[in-house]
Amino acid sequence: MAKTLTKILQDIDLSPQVESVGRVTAFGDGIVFAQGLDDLQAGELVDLGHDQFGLALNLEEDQVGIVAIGSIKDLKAGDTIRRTGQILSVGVSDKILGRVVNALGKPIDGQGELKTKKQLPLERIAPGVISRESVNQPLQTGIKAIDAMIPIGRGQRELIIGDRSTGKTAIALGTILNQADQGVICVYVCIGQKASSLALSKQILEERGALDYTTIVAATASASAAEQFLAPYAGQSIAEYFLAQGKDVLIVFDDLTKHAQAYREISLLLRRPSGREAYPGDVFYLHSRLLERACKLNADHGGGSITALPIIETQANDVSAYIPTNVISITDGQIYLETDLFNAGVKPAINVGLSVSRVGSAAQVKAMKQVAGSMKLDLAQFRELEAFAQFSADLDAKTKAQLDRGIRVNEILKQGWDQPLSVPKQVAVIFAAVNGHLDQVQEDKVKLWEQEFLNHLETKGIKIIKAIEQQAQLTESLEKKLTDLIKTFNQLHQDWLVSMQETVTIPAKG
Amino acid sequence: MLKVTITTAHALSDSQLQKIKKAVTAKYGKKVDFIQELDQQVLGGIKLQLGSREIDATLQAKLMQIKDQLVKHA
Repeated sequence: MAKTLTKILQDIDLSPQVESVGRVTAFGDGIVFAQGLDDLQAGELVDLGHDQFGLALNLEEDQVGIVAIGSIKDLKAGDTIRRTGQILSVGVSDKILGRVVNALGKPIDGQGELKTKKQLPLERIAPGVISRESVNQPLQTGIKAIDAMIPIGRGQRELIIGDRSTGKTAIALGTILNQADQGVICVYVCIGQKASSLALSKQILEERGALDYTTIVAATASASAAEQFLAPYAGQSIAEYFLAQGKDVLIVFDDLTKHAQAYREISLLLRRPSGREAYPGDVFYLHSRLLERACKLNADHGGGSITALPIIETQANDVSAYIPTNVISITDGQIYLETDLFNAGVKPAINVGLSVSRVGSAAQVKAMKQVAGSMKLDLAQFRELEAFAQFSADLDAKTKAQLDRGIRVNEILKQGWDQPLSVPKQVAVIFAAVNGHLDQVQEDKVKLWEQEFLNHLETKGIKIIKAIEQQAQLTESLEKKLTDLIKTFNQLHQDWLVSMQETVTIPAKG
Repeated sequence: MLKVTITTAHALSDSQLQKIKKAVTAKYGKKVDFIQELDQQVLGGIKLQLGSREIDATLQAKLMQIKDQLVKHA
């Protein structure tokens, strides 16, 4: 022991230390202006003394602007601050799953220290074209409306956009809950949200066992603007740690509107020139460099993927505002949520007409493609006729049948946000809807029908479910078995059916 | 115009001060403005701040170095 001590003492380098220092000229609102620090690099960590650090963002000829990370105490004008020579990094290891960390990777869930294996810089360059391949695997959200008509693939960026309280976070959390048996690691980045909302989300994830494969990066509303600005990049670096291991990762940014506002705050305090809506000129780059890091890598580079679900909050459904249009142009599609639909009881309140997935059916299992192919068209036709619903007594039989079909398909698409459905069950339910087996069921009994049918599948239809899962498509024999199962089920519940009349039915789509 | 701050624990003698001024002016050439500071906390040695570069050869810095290394290898 003494020998080691002597050795340590002998090895210490006691030659004069040469450091680059600066003198604080102004400090306020979380921004430090300093003179000196001539050779400071952009994005470098600056030591503000007393174990506090700042990020150098403004490099001017005679002064530097440094954003303080966290709250700063004991700093005053005239103090000496030093370069660290390091760029901002976050410590990662496999143990980060199940933990809640702040924007710097420090755990804030009170469950002890986090042993880190690697330090990954927050700012990294996205993978190049050569290392990528096109998205070909589905990311199952468990939500029928999305998996059927706006399918998301692993490696895609799909924007969730809507007004406040339309269910944006619910879709993201529902997707995380559905990844339990999909082998996908989840990162939930919380930017500017209420701490109480985050606590509730965390509790739900924990109760459903989803926290075991999720990391939460939290920069809630009381965190400094710098932390809110850095949190998404920290989350992305954590996701890239797992990407490098060849895993599939889902990252949710909730939400990027508050992220842009935090960046605007920092930029204005740094006296950078402001542009439209007082946002700085590089607010597009702020989001594009973040979202470009979500990708699907080819087999040579591990074959992993990062799927990004950024969330943007619009004001009064205005998708042509500055930040929404920016992010829409970056992502590979959007899920558009509307307040009117939400208030009318359509949950998830997805506007299927305006929502799009630019990856589309390349990321869908064949079984789903078979049944959902015509659903979007059915719903579009229904929407056109919806205005005539009030005249239903005066319509011709065929239009009435179309309306009835549309109403029932709409009912089927309603879903509890925390009730994800596996693909085979989704396929079975949608198959029933598009092939007219629900046309006989009373409108207000459709949800009940679905619930009981899912139970029925669990008991009597378990073989069919397994077959769909294994074969990933609906063969003719499977279709016949499924049809028979549905017909028997309908027989059992005669009291839910409308009284038998002469009706013209729309031919079932195969 | 280079501003140089010399910090020591005890006042420097004239000859010591001249040596330092000569060395700094020789290296930097331009007009140099020297400021002397006394700080008991540095315990010994000398700290030179030349513009934004700080050369720290004080006893305090050496002791801090030893402390950091011991903590690191503890």
